[in-house]
Amino acid sequence: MIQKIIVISLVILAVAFLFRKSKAALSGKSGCGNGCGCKGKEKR
Amino acid sequence: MAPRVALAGNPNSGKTTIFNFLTGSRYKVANYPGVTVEKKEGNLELPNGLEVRLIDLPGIYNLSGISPDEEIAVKAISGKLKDEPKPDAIVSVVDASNLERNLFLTSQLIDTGIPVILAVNMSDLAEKDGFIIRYELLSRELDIPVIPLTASKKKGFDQLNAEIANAIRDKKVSRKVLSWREGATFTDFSAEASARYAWIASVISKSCSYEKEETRKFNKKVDAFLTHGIWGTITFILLMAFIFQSIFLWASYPMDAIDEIFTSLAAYVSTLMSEGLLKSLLVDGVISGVGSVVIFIPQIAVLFLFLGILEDTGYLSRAAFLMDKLMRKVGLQGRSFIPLLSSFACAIPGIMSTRTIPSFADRMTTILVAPLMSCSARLPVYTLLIAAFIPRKSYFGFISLQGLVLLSMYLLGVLAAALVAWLLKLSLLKGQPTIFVMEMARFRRPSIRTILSEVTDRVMIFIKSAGSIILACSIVLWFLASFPKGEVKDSYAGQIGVFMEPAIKPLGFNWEIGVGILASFAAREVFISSLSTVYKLQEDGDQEGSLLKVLSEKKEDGSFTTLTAVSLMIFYVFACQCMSTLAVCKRETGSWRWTAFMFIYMTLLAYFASLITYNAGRFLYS
Repeated sequence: MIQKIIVISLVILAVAFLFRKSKAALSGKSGCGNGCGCKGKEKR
Repeated sequence: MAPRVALAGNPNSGKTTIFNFLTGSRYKVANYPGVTVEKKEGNLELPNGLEVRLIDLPGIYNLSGISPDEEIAVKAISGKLKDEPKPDAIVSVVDASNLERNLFLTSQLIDTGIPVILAVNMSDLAEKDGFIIRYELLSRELDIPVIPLTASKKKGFDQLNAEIANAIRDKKVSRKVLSWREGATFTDFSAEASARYAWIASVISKSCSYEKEETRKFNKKVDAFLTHGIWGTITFILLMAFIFQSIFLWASYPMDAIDEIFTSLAAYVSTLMSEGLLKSLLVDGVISGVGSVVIFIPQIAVLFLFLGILEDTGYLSRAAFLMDKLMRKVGLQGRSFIPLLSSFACAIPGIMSTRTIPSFADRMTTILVAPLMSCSARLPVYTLLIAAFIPRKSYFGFISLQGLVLLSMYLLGVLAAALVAWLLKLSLLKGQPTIFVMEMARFRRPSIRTILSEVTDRVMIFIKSAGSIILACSIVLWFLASFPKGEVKDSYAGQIGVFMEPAIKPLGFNWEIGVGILASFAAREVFISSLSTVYKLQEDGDQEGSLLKVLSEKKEDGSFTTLTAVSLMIFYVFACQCMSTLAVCKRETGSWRWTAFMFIYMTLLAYFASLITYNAGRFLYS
């Protein structure tokens, strides 16, 4: 039973993550969305 | 509001290297022009404790910029950007070896009435070539502070920071350049250019001298060879062939080691856990999926190591010059070379860097063909299939068949891009290519730091994607392939694959490949993890082995043929299997119509190219 709950939670988390990523990429808000580094990164 | 200081200069003068050092940022730098296409900002703390906002502008040759990136730079300097005042000071960054041409922009910046500091970058290289600059005299002639700088070696920054602080405190404006010339009124740009160049010539003759004429002559000879129609092309092809050979040769040992680690990890987890859903998720989903992609890190590192060396030595701008002739034939211009070259890493920065192209037709054509360049996400797909299906033969003892096949996949993308560009310029996007002036980056010893930083960045991006998108996709795919319980073919994923099968069967693909193709729309590497998960779930009991071994076995029993592998590679050369590329295309073109056009033409191209390959192969070998 515990195994089932863990597995289902992980699957739901993965789906939510992919959904959030796709939404950000399609709205153009996440730069490239692919993490290719094209936006650069300011450290300070 | 913190004082604003702009970094302005010609393309490839080293502005971003200076910006990165002063602000602690890590933006992309390269030894070719046009890398920076957007204005970037960062904070800089001066020695007197004052914090200023530093602005890195795209490279410009003069203040009448016409392409979108140049326009941003010109507007930022003249204070015409919304909610952004004029900068309080400008650091005019010039390349010491091309001082005469670089000073043209400086002379215009001086005339804006904003305090200017001249940062003479790469001064050590110019000195090595025998070009002697007397900085005090130059400063007196220009009437602005002049700082010798070697940004790549972090030399001269203390002096630069001190001068920035002085410029903000004193607000001293220098003598205007053109007001020196009596009655100088300019009705056109060429008259202004003549007047400015005359002034620059007089400044240089008083403050600089050339001592080593032979070095300059030697460099010219090397350039003539590398940009020669025949010799230059042969050198280019040989270099590329060497790189693709090395991807297989150098990466094999670390790849085997990573493979061993993941196989042992899967075995260890298997022994540790009792049979059940969680064990299956971890072993068949997570470890198998992520491990099958992570294994390709060494190949990505080798590819970017070589590209970094070519980039940093200055060779790539010679290659751009060489390609300009070819690109003109298909109706494109040399400015398209850098976006297309960047697309070998990832189409997204490639599409973004088309902002350097002023003509709408040329820019749109470049955007539409950029995803045909084989990006680093396709590399794992190619190398997996090549390693599993192409024999390890070599010709003349050093040319390996596997390396040649990989090179041909990259060349196929380039040829298709040329063909599509030619067709587009003949039909939908008619227009004459504009004149292109290519900055010939100087030859220099590559900086190990810059190259390693680029390689590390690419590897980290790959690891990040394996730990996020690929991990999530592996979990979802494991779920879809495991339920409802029973045969994988009857699972949700299997049902989708079986539904797709009639459409993809003529290309030689089965339902397992169909699932992989569909899943890889999130990221191309997901194809590998999907295939790995689907095959793992079909295995009996605790069978061990990487995806490569599984595919080799399938080749032996004839369920996955070499022809299918070749057809699949060709499909991946052309297919637009990347959601992020479509998103950035929409953002840059502002049009769903062009984005849909790109997706449709690439998918059709991929489908028919695979169809022809598979059926021609079957006809030939039947």
